[in-house]
Amino acid sequence: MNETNLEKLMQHYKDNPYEIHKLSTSRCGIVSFEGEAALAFSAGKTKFKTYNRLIVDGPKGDYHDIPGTLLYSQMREGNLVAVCSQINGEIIDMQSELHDSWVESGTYLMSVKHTLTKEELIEKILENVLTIYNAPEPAKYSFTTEFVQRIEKEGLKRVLIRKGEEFLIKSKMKKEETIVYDGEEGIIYSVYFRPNKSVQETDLRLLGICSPDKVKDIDRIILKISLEWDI
Amino acid sequence: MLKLKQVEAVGKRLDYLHIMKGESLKSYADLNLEIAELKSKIFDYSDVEFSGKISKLEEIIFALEQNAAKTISPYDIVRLSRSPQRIRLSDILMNVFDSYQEFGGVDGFESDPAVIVAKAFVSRKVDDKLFRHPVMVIGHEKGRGAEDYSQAGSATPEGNKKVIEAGMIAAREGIPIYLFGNTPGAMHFEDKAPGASQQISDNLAFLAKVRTPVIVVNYGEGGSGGFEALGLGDYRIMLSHAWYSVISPESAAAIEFKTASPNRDQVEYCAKQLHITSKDNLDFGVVDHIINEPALGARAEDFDFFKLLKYEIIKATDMVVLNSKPKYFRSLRKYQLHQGAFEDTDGSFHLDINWQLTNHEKKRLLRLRSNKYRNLAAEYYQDDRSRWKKFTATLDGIQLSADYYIDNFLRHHYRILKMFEEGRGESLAVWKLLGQKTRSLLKNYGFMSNEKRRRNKLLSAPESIVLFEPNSSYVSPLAKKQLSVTCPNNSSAEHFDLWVPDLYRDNAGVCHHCGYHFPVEYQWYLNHVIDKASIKEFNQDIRAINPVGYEGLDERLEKARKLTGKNSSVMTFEASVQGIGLVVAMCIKDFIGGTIGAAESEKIVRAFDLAKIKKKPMLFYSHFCGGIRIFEGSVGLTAMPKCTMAAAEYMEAGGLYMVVFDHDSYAGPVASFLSCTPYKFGIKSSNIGFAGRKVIQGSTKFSISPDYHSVERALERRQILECWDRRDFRKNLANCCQTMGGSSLYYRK
Repeated sequence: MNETNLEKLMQHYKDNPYEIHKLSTSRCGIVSFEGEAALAFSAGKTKFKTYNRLIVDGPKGDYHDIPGTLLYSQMREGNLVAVCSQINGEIIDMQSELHDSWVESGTYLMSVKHTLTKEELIEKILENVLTIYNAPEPAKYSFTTEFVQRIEKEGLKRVLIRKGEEFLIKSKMKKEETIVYDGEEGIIYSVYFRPNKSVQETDLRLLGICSPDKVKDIDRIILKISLEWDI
Repeated sequence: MLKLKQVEAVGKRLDYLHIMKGESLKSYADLNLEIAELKSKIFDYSDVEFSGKISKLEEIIFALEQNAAKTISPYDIVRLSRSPQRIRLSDILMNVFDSYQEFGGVDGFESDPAVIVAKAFVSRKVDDKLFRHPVMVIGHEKGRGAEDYSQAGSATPEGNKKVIEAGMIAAREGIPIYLFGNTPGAMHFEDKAPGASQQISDNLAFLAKVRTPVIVVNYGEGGSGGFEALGLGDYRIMLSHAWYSVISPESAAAIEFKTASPNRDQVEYCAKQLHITSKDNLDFGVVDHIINEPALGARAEDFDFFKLLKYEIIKATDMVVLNSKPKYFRSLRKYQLHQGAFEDTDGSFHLDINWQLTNHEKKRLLRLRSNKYRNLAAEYYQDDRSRWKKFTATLDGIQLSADYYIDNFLRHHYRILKMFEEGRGESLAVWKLLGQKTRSLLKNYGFMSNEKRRRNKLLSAPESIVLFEPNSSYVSPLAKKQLSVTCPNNSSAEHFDLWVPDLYRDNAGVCHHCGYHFPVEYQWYLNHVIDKASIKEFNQDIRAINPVGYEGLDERLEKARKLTGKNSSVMTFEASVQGIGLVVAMCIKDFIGGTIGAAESEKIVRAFDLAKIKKKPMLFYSHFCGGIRIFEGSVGLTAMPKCTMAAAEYMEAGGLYMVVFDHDSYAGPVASFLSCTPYKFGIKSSNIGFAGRKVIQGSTKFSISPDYHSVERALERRQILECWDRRDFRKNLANCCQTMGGSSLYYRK
């Protein structure tokens, strides 16, 4: 992606700094958007705002342990499950006619319009411009000693990685295995894994690679977003 | 400058009154204004005018002080104990002791400034001759305000650890330990090893067995477990304006009235209900002596009070030392001490008592300490057994004691045999050097094979025991509910449901996907862990009562009795697991949230005694433990030292004490007798902790992770040895009985 495309991408997000999350049921059961049961379940934990302007909050707290706003509840076989919002945003569409009715799994219920933050926007742009190197499987990953020395010496965004280079160590079930790089040659722009933390199935990203000539452009765009983005 | 000092002194007296009376001191604002005005215009007034104004202010404040002293309430005492003007440990060290040397760092460079340790000298004059006694002083330091480093006397585990470190030095040097307690409670840090509860438990176990006199002085706040970390001793003294309770009145009011910020009336009510004052505690037998303070409590400048305090702690040490000495060496001096060996005029004593104890005297000291705590709160439960039952129980006790002592006597014989065995092992090593042929010759004579067989026997169940099966046909009544549940381990987006009848009937309440343990009732364990029909309950007639007359407790107890059919929250019984007999104490939730009070502690102590005398392993299964019963005030709090003492004695006698935590186990018991053994285990998905989540966040201002109290985190910080699956409880328990600790178990002879 060249500089013009980057600018276009940025302009696109500037015009529409939103992301629409469509929510569907993950199980069958009777859906309830309001009412005593849902409110009682959420009493003291979440707040349920009026539907005129449905602002919802994501999980809060240092550990994301305080649940977000209650979106809907679902009852099946005497089991009431409350589904809370996982993101901040505004509900823009809701199938309110489904209230108190039986729905199958996968039924569309509502859409939440989420305003992107600076960090999320940078993440989005990087996803478009970087080549993501994914982990082969969930495990703990760390750089090899030689590679760590190279990063320390040259700096993270200057280390060039080539095909056939031993660069990572995979630790799983007390067994360690060296991983050889088999992707395109490039600069390691971002590192997504953390030492001593397992990479999970849901997010297998390990590294973001880009060609050496793009580094300056990406840096410039990120700086621009940091300075100009005022959301 | 003199004038300014006078005005400041008056201001200090007014502040002190305000701290005590709070908003009820209505004239505070006006008087404060007058003092401020006098201070600002101090040089405008002539000497006559100034003395007139200051005298008038002094008179008003004196009258207010007199009035306050007459109407002092339990909550006023709590407020006084928190006043920055109240005596601190550093004041005591300066004024009571001749000289002292503090151990550890200074201010911010201390590992925990809330606990001070000092080697000090206390002196007494006998016939113009001065005797200086070295002592070890350990105590809480509250500091004088927010800028101080001492965290208002709330000790961290590092601070509490100093008690053991300094106590070991004192025991080695044979000098008495003075513990000065003044804390609203311990810091609730549990994220490192040892955590708050583990350290308090270690302290209690250490103090129960330290071979030197220990004098405890409560000189301010006696806040629950934090105080107990420095609260076990041979003689417990309390200052008249100190308080001692299982919970602070504010926290009790928050629980009782279900509000985050209770008003003064609610707190006053709880302070009165909890019976926290020194007089109440003396009446309950929780403390041994009260030292009277000045009318409005002791302050740093009350030098007469320090003189009295010095006399009282010397007298207390004399009493403890004399009691440990043989009768023929102590009678006359003890009598003299009672008659008053202290002359008020010049502070000299008539008596010279050497505080160094011989080994024999130290043993007696420990025996007396054990008896003291064994008898604490002994009258605060009701024994509903008939006279005949009590008589037969006494006979059984005599027979068991005889068996125990005979067995112990025979153990000497066993020791001699063991010595021969050791000698033979040594000679085998010598023979080994002589060559392969000699060794094979010995093998032919069967020496080696015998050795091997004996070693195996030590680690296995006795041959005579038949392996029984549990009553595995029992199904939890929860299985009757025709509904499904969602496993809490699954996020809402990925949830799948578990059908409750299948969950409880086929899977013992364990999620087949992730292993999450849903709660089950204690009866499930009685049927699936214990051998069929092997349960023999004892002391079921010991009934929890309302020792401090807490309003509403009688009704709650009655309700709990009807609900559970039990007389207390702890069930004690003898049972067997895979043929191995053991004594079990089990704490159940439905009886006032599984809280421990005087009756429960008595049952636990008796269970330890039985396990010791029958040489059986002791299991404490905490199905649910909600802490010490707050409605019993300081009487309930005695469960901490009392049961820890019993546990320490049981383990010292060679028993195997195991604790298994399940569901939720919190507060005092976890910080005492549930943590004083190395053999602690947790059932999966259970929670273990000292203080609850909200309390920790409120007191430390740190947010804590949702899994802070989880059994996995407890395992991580080495609070427990292992995390068990509920379905493996029986197997693991039997395995522990055979492989872990305890040289004096009946099946290891």
